[in-house]
Amino acid sequence: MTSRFPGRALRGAVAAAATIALGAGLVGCGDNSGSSKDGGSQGKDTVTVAFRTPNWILPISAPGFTQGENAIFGQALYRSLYQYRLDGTAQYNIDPERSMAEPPQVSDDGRTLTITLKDNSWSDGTPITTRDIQFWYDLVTANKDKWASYRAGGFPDNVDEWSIKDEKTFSITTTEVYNTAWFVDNQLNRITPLPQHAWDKDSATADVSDLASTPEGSKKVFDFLIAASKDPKTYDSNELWQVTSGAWKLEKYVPNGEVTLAAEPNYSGTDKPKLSKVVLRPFTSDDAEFNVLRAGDIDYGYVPAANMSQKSYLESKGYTISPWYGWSITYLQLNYNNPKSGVLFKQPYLRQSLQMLIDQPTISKVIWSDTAAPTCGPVPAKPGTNTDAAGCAYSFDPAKSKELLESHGWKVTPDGQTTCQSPGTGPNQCGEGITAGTPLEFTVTSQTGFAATTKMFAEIKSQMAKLGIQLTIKEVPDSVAVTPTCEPTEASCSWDMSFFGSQGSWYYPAFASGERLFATDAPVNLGSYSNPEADKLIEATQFAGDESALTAYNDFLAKDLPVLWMPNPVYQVSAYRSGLQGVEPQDPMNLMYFQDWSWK
Amino acid sequence: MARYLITRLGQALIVVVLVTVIAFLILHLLPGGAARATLGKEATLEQLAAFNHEMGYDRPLIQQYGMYVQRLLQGDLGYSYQLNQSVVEAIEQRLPKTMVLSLLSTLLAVVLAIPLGVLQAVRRNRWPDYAITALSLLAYATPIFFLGLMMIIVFSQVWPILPPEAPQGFTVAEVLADPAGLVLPTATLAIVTIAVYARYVRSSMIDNLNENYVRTARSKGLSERRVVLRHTLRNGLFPVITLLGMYLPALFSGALVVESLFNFPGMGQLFWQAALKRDFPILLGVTVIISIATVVGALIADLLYAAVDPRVRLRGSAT
Repeated sequence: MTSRFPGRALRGAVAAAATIALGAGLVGCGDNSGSSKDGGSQGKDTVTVAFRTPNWILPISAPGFTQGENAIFGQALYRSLYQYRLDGTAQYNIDPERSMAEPPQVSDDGRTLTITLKDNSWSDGTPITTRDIQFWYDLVTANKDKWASYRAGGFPDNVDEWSIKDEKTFSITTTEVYNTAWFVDNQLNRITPLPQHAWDKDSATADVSDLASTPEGSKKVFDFLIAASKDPKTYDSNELWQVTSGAWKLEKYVPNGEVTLAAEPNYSGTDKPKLSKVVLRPFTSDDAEFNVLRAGDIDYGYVPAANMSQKSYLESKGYTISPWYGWSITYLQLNYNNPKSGVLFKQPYLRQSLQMLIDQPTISKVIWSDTAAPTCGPVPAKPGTNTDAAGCAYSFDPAKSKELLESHGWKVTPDGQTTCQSPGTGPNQCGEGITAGTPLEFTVTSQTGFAATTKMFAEIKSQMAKLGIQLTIKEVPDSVAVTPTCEPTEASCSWDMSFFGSQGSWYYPAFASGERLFATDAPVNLGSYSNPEADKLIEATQFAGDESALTAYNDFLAKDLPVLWMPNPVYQVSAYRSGLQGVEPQDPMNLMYFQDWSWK
Repeated sequence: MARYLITRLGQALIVVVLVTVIAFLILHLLPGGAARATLGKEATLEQLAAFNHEMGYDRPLIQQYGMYVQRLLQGDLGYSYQLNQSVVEAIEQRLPKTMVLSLLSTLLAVVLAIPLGVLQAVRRNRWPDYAITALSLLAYATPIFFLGLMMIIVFSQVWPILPPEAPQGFTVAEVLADPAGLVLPTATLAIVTIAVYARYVRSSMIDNLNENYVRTARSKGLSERRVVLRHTLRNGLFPVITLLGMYLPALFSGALVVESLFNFPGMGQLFWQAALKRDFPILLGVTVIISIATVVGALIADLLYAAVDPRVRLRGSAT
């Protein structure tokens, strides 16, 4: 019956449909991107960079907008007073070329820092003076509750006197005698001159005045600037953002899309841009980015950990592959306030035993493909070094770990369930609050989307199982959100261990002190670790003038294990065209200086 | 017909309200707060509290919902901290991209699947039928992620004639201005849909070709072409109408995998990223839009049924 149908007509319809469909798509196929493989994807004086779209432009950070891309974007447009470098050659780590001021002169009593500005100007030609520093200070002091960098007791609470000497000089007198290196690196790093002559007003139509010089006026100006920064679709058109101090100006901004930076012709710094444009391109996923990288359509991107096996392919395509080491540490957070497991974590021997089951060198080498290095303590090793865990207080040693447990009253059952056999507080007993029969079983809340992290915890789980320690791995998209700081009575305090270090758990400012991480009541002390000795040592890093304080603090916490130290992955494995120079060294504090980049 | 429409619209409204209630409750019962997810681990307790206060998350749930509905009725879907954008702006930015991709792929799928399904039906159990069935099953069984990746490798890297990513513009004009960029994502999305639609059309056509009315038409001496295209195809398209109706929400919800793979930030990506970051305003906004699209899609499908099948119209009027 079916053969009676005139097949030619139907075949014709199919062919026509196929022609339409393919034809519509293939129009323009001849223009497969404007890539010039030997230079930049857009020409020799432009570079295209894989980069998440920044979503905050005001150089005063607001809570929720402190992501790394915002910092890089912000620095491109608005330079901080001080820039830092960690090569050990500069006083207080201050980068003398990029900074807008000379290193501070410290008074004899150590409380007053006098700072002299270098000659710089805004993009509209107006000189940058202490009035612009004062403007910034007025805004943050009157609005510190809305400033992301504010911590009670920190800047500006610890400023006793703020004094403008003249157009080029100002001084800060602190409430106490601080370690100058700490104050310069971790407090003065927040200062960013703001264009008072363009921004000191409370509406777009108002005239510029000295409104911010009073707290009430300052609140109005701050709210006006925040509102403007919360309107990203106007970033490239709003007059406010046309006056800049950085090496770049914003040429085009598409919310959640492409951002184009153009070299600022009136840039007054010494590190003049060598390229005319930088195009920042966001990607929806690692796969999307890698596909475009493989196709050669971007000049600077990254190699996702899952694609590291294709490193040599990319090299053969003219890319240089370079790990970007961070000034960071990585750790597994322990919840000391968990009513069940907290009593276990409070036992130092148990923390040591767990630490000795983490084979950091092997995990770094095999699972992270040499793109991670062991963490030994709270102060990071020099980026790119310490690949063999040399100097770690507790190296991988399952036998010693077992011995430690058994010597403290635990019945170790390899591949079974280890339990407390001798409860009590004696030297050979399990410890305070641990009852007989208590099992060693923990849940790690880890991150989804990182293959190496998944493999790493599989390895650690396997090692722990050999000593009868049962580890359950629970992966969630945002482990920080579900493992909050908590009180033992709260329902949210049921988490045992939390990992959020697939790209490093914590990135430090230039001075790697631990007041935000390991001090009792520190904001990022999610596990509520508390040790009076550690508090004392952390405080010493802020107040003692000699560098031994940092060493003492590091040595103590490296041994005390407030957290379990984990392999510290690189921030990313960068891939850039071999003809692109100036990319390296990549800043361990995660800034990018596009003005250093140029084509060979 | 008017009464039927009013009844259906009333039902649709109830469904949308219920969806918002359920979505609202589920989102707020998720462990872990939006504040920490948005502000990050370095946020202080004071900053977290200020965020919760600003967003209204420190109020009783019923009050939060009331405020949400009140704003919703004024067309305000809220503000996303994660994007630093209003939800309406975020959706306005992505929806055109998603709709272009979905419409093109659906159009391509329909244009190809109907003739293929008809061909299979009229050539049933012969080589064209076997060949198309095999290809359909292969396409249907291939994970869309793998398919997209293969397309990129073949057409962008091995034989570099097409770009590996979709157009990067945000307006319809900008997206359509880069037709080459649309080829791979559209084809990836369409191939799976073609397989599904073709199977439905084949099955439905075979059923209809065995009906008495077809036999009658043939016995009247009508040409086979007229029998198939004028009489049988109309009835054979019922399943496709159902599928198209149910496909309407996809126009708004996006195609997450294709969007991820081809760097095409549409509605699927918007929802996915919001889910990862507990961006409640976005999640609720997109849920509302999709629920409306779903009920409207079902309604359109019913109306189309009524248009092509008088029996449906009669039953609808009777109710």
